[in-house]
Amino acid sequence: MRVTDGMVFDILLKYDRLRSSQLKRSTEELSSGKAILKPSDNPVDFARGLRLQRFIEGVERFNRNIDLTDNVLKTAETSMTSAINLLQEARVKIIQVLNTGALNGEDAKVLADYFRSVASYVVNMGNTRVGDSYIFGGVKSQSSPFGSDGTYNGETVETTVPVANGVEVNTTFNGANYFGVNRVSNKITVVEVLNKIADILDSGNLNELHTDTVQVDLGDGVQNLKLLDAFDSGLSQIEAYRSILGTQERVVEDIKSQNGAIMVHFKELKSKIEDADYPGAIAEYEKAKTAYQALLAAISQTQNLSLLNFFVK
Amino acid sequence: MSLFGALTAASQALLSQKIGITTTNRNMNNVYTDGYSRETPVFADLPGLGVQVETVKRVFSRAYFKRLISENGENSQLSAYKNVLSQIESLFNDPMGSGLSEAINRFFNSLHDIAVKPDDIAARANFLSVAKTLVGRIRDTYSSLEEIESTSVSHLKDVISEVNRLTEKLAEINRNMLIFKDSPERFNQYLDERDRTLKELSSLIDVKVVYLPDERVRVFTAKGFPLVSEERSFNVSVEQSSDGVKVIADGVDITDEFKKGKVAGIISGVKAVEDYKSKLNLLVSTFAEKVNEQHEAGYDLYGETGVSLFSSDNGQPIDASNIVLSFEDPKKVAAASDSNYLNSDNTNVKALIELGQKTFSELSDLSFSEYYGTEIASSIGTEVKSVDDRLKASQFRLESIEEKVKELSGVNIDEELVNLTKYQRAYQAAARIVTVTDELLQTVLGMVR
Repeated sequence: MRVTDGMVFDILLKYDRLRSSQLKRSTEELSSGKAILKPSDNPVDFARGLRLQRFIEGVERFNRNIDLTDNVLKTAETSMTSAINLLQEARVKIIQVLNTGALNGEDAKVLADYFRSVASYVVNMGNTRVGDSYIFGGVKSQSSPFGSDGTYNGETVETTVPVANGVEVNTTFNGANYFGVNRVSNKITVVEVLNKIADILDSGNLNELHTDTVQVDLGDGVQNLKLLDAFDSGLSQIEAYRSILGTQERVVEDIKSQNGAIMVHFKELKSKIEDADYPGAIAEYEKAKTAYQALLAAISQTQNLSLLNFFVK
Repeated sequence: MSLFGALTAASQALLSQKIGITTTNRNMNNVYTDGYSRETPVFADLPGLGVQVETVKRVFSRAYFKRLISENGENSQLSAYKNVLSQIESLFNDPMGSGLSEAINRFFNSLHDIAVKPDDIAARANFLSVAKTLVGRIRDTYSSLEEIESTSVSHLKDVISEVNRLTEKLAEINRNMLIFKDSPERFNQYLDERDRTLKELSSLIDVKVVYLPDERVRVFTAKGFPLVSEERSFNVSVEQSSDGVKVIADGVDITDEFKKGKVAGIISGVKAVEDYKSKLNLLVSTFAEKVNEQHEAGYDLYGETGVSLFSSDNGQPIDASNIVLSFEDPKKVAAASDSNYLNSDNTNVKALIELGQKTFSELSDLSFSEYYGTEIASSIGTEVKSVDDRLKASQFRLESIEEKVKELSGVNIDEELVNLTKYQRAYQAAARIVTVTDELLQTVLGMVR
């Protein structure tokens, strides 16, 4: 092979460019911390990276929804629990009254007041608000869902928010279900019964406590029930829906921790795809640096090799 | 042979060795001149005695040169094409901050805040600002694409006028070189200049070179249209119309015929820009249409329905070049499907969120983000990568053929120094013959005294 002087410089230029671009690349990877600097570095992984980013943002969004709805769920459960607690105490009193043959006017009035106040407390709980929205009125969240006598004015349509793909939780609840509204009278069953008991106590005709009946329909057909039975079926519906709330809360907690695990997994995967492998990048950097130094040394050595040195005196 | 004959032969030798020294001189001077082909004097012994330089040969291989200009054309095509593609790529480099992916994700994610609290004005305002960012990104990306296209077209015009300059130069070289047919040194310089020009021309446009026996050239471009025919050159022109840019030779549109050279690279680059513009338009028009359709189905806080979220600012159907947000009033976001509960129903917002996951037949059965990711960002990445790989291979081939050309035609100083010494010694020897012959003549003349 005939080696000409120009070729030596071509080699210098060619490898200088090559090594410089390798150095630039490793420096970019090291300083940005990313292995994919542009789509063409790895088009497939680039698309996967975008997809993972989308999943991560989606899951983060769902978790934020969970945090925001959590407040509503907790408030709803608290309201229902305190209503239930009070109703259970009232039930004891009802049984006491039923077992008492006679009451003097004073005692009857005290009891009647007590039953009325329990009834209005339950109505109050039904009118619980989060911020400025009533939560037990279904989609109709801007006006109080229950009238003072327990009449339901809300909607049966609830609003829900997605917290995972295909899973939605309530931000408002259908008060008719949650507070056991009697479809015959459109009033909260327990409130209706309590008010009726109070009325009987006021009238002094205690016998009616045993004989009077109420037409109750809690979604399973109209039944003619005695007062205590009507009260019990209303209360048990409220209890049943509180446990539904509890389940929903647990599901949401589950989803949140599951979302967290998925997010960690996705982030790890994304990092594996996109982030620079530091030991690898440093090794590449050192390799390119050494090669570059060797190139410069070789050039300065060979440049001095010329017959010319022996001609010049 | 007479002594005078010897003197004549010696002087002929002195002249010949001097040509040798001059040639070596020129070679050494041009050791790093690009496109210079080294020359060697061809010595021939004269009948009787003596030496003469028959010609000064230019060391050159036409076969290598033909391969060189062919590889050179391919290399320039790929490098010009890649240049345009990487500009497009930089617009869709999401991890580095450009691109639409994040803006699209945020558009759908910010709707959740409205779903959680439909009457929250702050959530609605935030959604509108996110939507505005998305619109801004789309418009910016589109106008950058248009800018890339227009700079590429003006670059193409520059290249074509350079082509015309080079073909004129070649025609002139063809005209002039014959004048120096009998003076090999000058003639060789013309040949070098001709080949340099041909190489330059080959990096710009497809060329096919035909050498005539007298070393003049005819140059043809794609589809056999002549660029240079002996002493005439033919101009190529660029025309820009509404349906794109055209390269015209002899009144015929040969835009699609180019395979090599910068011209071919830029033309494919412009086509790629067009391609990505229409992909972006498809994405944006589908996006706007589907979002509007759903938004129009809902009710805003004023109880109005049929309000679209996006519109165009020039009356044309919505695409990436004209998309704008229709309103800035947060209360006009149609979150409700039930006109009775404008500030608590979130059914329509949830339907809008759903759109983010849905696939559309218009977008090859992909969702908005997925279409952006695979059909736009990743697709330009794949194209750049494939062109880059081809460019590397072509670079390698070009370098190896360039090395071959230099190996043959380049100057090696050591070699020249040895030649110089050789001619110097031969010159000294011939000079010695002159003095010796002179002494002999003196002797002869002394004999008659």
